[in-house]
Amino acid sequence: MAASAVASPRVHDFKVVLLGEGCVGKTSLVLRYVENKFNEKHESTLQASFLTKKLTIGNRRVNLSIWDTAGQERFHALGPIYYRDSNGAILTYDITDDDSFQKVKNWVKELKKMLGTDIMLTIIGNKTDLEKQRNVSVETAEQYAESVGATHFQTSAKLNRGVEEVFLDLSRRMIEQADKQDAEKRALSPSSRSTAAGNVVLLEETPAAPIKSGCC
Amino acid sequence: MTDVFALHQMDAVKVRVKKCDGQNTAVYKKFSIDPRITSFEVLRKLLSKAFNIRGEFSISYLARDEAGKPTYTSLLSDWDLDAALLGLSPDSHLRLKVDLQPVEEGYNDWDIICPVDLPDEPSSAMRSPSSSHPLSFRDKFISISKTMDMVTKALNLSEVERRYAKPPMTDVEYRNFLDSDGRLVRPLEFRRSVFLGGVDHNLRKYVWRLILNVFPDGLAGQERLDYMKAKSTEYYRIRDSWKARFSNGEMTHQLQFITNLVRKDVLRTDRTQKFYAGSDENKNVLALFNVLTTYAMTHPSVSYCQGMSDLASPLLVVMKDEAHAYICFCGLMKRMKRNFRSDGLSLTLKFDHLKKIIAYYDPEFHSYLVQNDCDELLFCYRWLLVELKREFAFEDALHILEVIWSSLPPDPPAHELELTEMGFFDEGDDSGLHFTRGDPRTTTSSKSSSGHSSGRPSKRGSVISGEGDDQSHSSSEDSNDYVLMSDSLTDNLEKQLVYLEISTADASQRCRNASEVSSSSADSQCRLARPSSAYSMDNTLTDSKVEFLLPPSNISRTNSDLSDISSLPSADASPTAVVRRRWPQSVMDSGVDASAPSPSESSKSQLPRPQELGDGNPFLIFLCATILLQQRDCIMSNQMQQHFELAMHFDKLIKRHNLHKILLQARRLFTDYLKTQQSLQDEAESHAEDGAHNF
Repeated sequence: MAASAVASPRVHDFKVVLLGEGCVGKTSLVLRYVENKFNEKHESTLQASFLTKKLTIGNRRVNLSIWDTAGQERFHALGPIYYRDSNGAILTYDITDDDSFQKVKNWVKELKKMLGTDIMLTIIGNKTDLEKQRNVSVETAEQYAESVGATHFQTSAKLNRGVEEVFLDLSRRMIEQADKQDAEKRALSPSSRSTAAGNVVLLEETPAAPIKSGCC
Repeated sequence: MTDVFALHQMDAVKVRVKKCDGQNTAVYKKFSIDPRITSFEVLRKLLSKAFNIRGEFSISYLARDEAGKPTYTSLLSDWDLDAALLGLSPDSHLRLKVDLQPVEEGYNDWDIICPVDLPDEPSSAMRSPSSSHPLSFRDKFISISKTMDMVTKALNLSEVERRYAKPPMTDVEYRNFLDSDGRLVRPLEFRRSVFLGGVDHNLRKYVWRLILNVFPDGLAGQERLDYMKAKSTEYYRIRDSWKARFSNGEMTHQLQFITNLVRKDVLRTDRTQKFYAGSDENKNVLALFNVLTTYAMTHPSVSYCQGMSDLASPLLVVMKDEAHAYICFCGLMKRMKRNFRSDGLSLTLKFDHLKKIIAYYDPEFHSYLVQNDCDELLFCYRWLLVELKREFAFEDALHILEVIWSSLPPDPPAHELELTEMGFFDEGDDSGLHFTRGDPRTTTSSKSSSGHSSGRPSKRGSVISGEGDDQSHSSSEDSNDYVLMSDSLTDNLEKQLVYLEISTADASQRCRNASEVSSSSADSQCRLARPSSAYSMDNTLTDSKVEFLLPPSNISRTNSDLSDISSLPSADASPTAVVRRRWPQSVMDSGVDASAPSPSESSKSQLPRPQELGDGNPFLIFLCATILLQQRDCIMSNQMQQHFELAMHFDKLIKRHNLHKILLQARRLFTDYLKTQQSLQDEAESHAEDGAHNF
């Protein structure tokens, strides 16, 4: 099967997780992206919810499975469950709230520790519609993002600014990463399939069983 | 043919039956049948079982005669049954009448068609719609017994309706629970009534305070008013101390942190409700902000966490008074703060118990979940965290919350409800923040601007010993308390079990109570004749009620106090330790183990005890289990196999659940469970030391 993978039409199933402090706009970003909706008074997310989006990039088809997580919850066992096996993570902060930017740094540390470099990171400064109240400078954020190998975007879910770009860029990078992993895999052994993240799957084929990683 | 086909299309037919015995008034029952597999014979058996008829009876059905007038026509055969079913307009009931005097003609006819004849009946294809499928005798037998099961369940359902639901508590009923001084009498029955039917919206304000354990026991109406007034004054004093710093710009890091978190959440909590709607300057939004900030500031071990705004919001909507909402919130959080601990132990336990309940009641569904790696039930996290508040439309949420609260044993404060955490200090106010009606305590809680972390050690010591002298608990007397608790626990275990049992007692039991209770309208629905043998139970109930009217159970108080102690930096006991202390192994296990239960009993005993189940809220676990079980067919038939599929499925059901259906089944399961637990307990006792009836 793997040998025929080159010629087969491929669908990338990518798992993306949204992380960040409470009320930075995670749900708003994903609802804007998936349903093009915005609700100023959307209730807080207490439990991760799941949304999907299909997109075509060049000749690739991408199924995004997006986990929108709860920003502030104390049941820490949940965190790893949502980010394990993720191909990409979107770490969001609120440009008016420096604490939320510090929280992004914590998330980066945790993800690097748990998932290594397999996961593609995007850092988002949301709420650019509140530019006047900005508390996190663009330079600081960009510098930091670069230092950890993440892409940095600025968005406003409210005004629908920059949201599409975030997911498009992340998807491109996830495809690259998947191709890279695919090539590595084929180089190693044409028949063996790694269970690591980077689920490039053939049509009709079920993805590898998720690995249970130890939770903290 | 088309008609037969139409009949075959029918899934279930609702049946309403009137039984007349010629002497007493008619008795009604409702159930549903599957017309495809219900033969006349099956129907007869069902009816005789439903009405417990030993002798002969005749069946007739309501149909329109040639003149179009409704008349009862004899139902004597499968042929008649088909005719009766085909004559129904969609969604109407099949109306049957059962007469205990046998009609001669009917008897003869019935005699001809007996079950043995069924498989070989040549014309059965004409008579019985089920015969349009070629079924072997065995198949048919199985399907008949399946139908029997289904209909028995359906019969139980109407029975369940009667037993496990009542209309919401009205003003009249509420007043019946108060004596001439406005004192709450029969608090257990009071809770039971709320448990079964909730409360009229206008009454919620009063009833919620009672079931949220705001008041010490035995306050008269006027005393309750005074108490609320004093507590409100206390609240405003606490609130204003941080408010002053807030407006003077003396923001400590803690205050800034908390107000930031709380502000973000109150601005998006229940804003679709008229009460909180409109601009962000809505004074009710501000009141919610004040309540949550005050709580977080005065409870440093809990602080603020998402989800709390969901718990406080309904209280404010119902109380329509900031201080009263705060007081109720303290009463509620005494139990619920465990959910917001960062150790997650309470939620872990709840998940675990939910799994156990599913495995017990529906092993097939459980193994489906296990196979698909979904048995962690993470999609139930929010259900457990805010006790289903988010799953229902707001009005329904109010109802389910009050039902949940009333399912718990009363846990009134010994002196008064604490509005601040033990170990919280108010530096600026030594005059006493507490309501001090006859309260001998001289020390009070006090605050420091940055919470417990900067409390003055010398003062803290004195506060603790002061509290300890008065309330017979303190961190320094921990070891003594442990012994003390173990003794009192033995007493209270039984009481709590009895409470739980009677709080969900079935209708006949309520009837028995009615004999000793005057004019409670809760009992008006009990019209069944009751056997005199029931009176032995009365004594138990009476005794337990008396026990419960005494100062509150040490268990619950001890538990919450222990939680408080554990939150102190000096005595950081883990919640597991708290649980163990609360229900010592000696009480919980030894008796059961000694009884060497039979296999079936041991499987029953696999379920956690009521006082353990759900970490202090057993009924919640049954509600969550019911929601899962009611969706299990949908989940399994649609082959939802992944966690995300289940999460999406239940997200779609948010605010769309059928509250009534869920409550009914959950109450029933819970009552069955409690009865089983009670009998296990009884058995354990009878196997314990000879002749030891210590309770």
